[in-house]
Amino acid sequence: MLVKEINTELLNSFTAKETVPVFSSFNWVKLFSEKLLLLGIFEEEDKLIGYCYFFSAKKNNLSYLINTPYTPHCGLHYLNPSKNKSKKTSFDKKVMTHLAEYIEAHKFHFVDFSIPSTYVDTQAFYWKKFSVNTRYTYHLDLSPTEEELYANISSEKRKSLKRAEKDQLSTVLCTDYDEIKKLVTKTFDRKQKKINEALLDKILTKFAEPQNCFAFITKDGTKPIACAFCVYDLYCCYYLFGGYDPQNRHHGAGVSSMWNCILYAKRKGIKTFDFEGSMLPEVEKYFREFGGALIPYYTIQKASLPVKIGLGLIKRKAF
Amino acid sequence: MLIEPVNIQEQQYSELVSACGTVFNSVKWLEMYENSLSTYGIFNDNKELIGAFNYYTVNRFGIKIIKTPPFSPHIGLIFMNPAQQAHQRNTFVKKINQCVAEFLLRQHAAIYFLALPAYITDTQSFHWLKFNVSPNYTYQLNLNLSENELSGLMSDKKRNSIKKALKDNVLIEQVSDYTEIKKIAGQTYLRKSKKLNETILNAILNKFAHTGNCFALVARLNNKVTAMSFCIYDTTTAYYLLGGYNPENKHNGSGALVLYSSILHAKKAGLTCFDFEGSMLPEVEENFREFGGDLTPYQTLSKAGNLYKLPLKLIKPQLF
Repeated sequence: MLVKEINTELLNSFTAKETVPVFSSFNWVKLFSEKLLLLGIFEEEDKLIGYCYFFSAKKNNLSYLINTPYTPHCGLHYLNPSKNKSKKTSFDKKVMTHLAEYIEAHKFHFVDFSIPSTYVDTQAFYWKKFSVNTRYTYHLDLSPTEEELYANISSEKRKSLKRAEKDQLSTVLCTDYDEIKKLVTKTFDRKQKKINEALLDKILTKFAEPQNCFAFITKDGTKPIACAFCVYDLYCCYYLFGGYDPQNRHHGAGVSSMWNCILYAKRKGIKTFDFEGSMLPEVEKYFREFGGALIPYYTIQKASLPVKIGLGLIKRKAF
Repeated sequence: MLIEPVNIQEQQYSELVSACGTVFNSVKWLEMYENSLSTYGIFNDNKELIGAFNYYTVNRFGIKIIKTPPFSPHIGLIFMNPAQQAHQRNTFVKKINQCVAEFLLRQHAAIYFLALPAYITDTQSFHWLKFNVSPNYTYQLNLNLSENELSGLMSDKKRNSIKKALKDNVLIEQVSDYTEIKKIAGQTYLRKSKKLNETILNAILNKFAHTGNCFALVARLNNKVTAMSFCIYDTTTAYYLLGGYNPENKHNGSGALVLYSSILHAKKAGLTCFDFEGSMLPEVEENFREFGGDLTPYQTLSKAGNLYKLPLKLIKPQLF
């Protein structure tokens, strides 16, 4: 087995033959032309069986390897040919070992990325002295009926939905992504978080198509006051971002946008709704109340000792 | 919700353990640790016992360390969750974990090394209180499968090792005299440069072990013990606690045979799961993996005071 850098054309030819999750799709990966490190996993010298990708560059002379923006993980996807259980587990371990060896050999000053929740084996990284941390998202199983899904959400959320209805807010499928962008930008501004606007534009204008994205917007009269934007593949719908207008707040508006996304994903025959990460206490509580299951996923980190100490002072929880 | 010391001899504790505990919560298991172990109850607002956990305290050079008890895979955190709806159940788990995390911090240990049972997947409360949370792994085999199916899960290498041992007339025998078990366990720990807590090992073999909670198998070739396996069990699961081979009398295959025989023994006893009990050493992990079980993560919690953080970052960069 071999891990080496590949270009997006090779990825394109590979994904053309496979059904892959949306964050592993060619159309998603090609959004990140700059700083993209795309790694191919080869079974033999020229037989590509999988890949993953990162943002990799240098800042203040320190090289780093991290998740690409707006992406929950490194998009790891590979074909495991084994049938026998023990061989299957061994194959997974081999892939992870080769990835860990590649990353270790390139001596990044700082590594911090996540792997998809479908991959649980991180021992190869642990053995190479990477730190593996547990993070969470909520997954909502969309197989119950709409009534069952509704009954499963908290009474607080139900009240918010009823309030939105009572106050005659309207929640509609939105194809004008300018409105989405405005609300999302307002949310980032309010949280004083930096937004990668160029990439947001790319997602909304180049990536977004009806077969991989949808958004719901909640309006008070004609005024857009909240929204939720999702990307999806055959099996899973991911809540990517959302926002509300702080000058026109309504506590049922955001909930209504999200709830409509859930119902829309269900009606499309998608099996799971992924809330895409819930590590901030207030966000976690908000998502928890929709009644999903808490799903762990793992982040892989490594930093040289001085970098670690520096980061430990800034971001104590992570380092 | 309140956390207080719990008397493990009381009926409310035994009722709790019967409802949701494992062998690692049993009175007999906890009694082995004598004073170094602290067992706490989690009480609801009506002062009813709804959960429990335990931890082991050591003082090394005046440094207080709170850790998972030796030979226990985790701190035995159990609780009864009365909620019905998914979000209410999740909220309840979070509340319990927050209580436990805050309680642990109030013990003012310099260093914490704790493992949670695999069935506790939510560790966010610990994360929010600045514990490092990282996964460790064990392998678990589903014993509801038939013997043929279990054999089919194994790697060819493991199957061939077992065949070789059978062909060479390696015999498996259940023993109740644990002299050989103790001797081989000691040799295995020494070989792996791991410290063995002999006091607890003696307590397990002499005080805890009886036919209703453990079984020990040895492999013999020409009447000499070549390998052994010692498991403890509760109503559902067998835990592979000790194992190893005799370096003076090695046979390639007898280790695999004695372990596979333990799996079949657990299956015949009506248990539904065989837990290999941790697999974080590469060579041990490979050995266990070849039996074809499910790689099962369990969460570990670590935290150190500022004074100890830097040296620990050097010794255990994965955790600090």
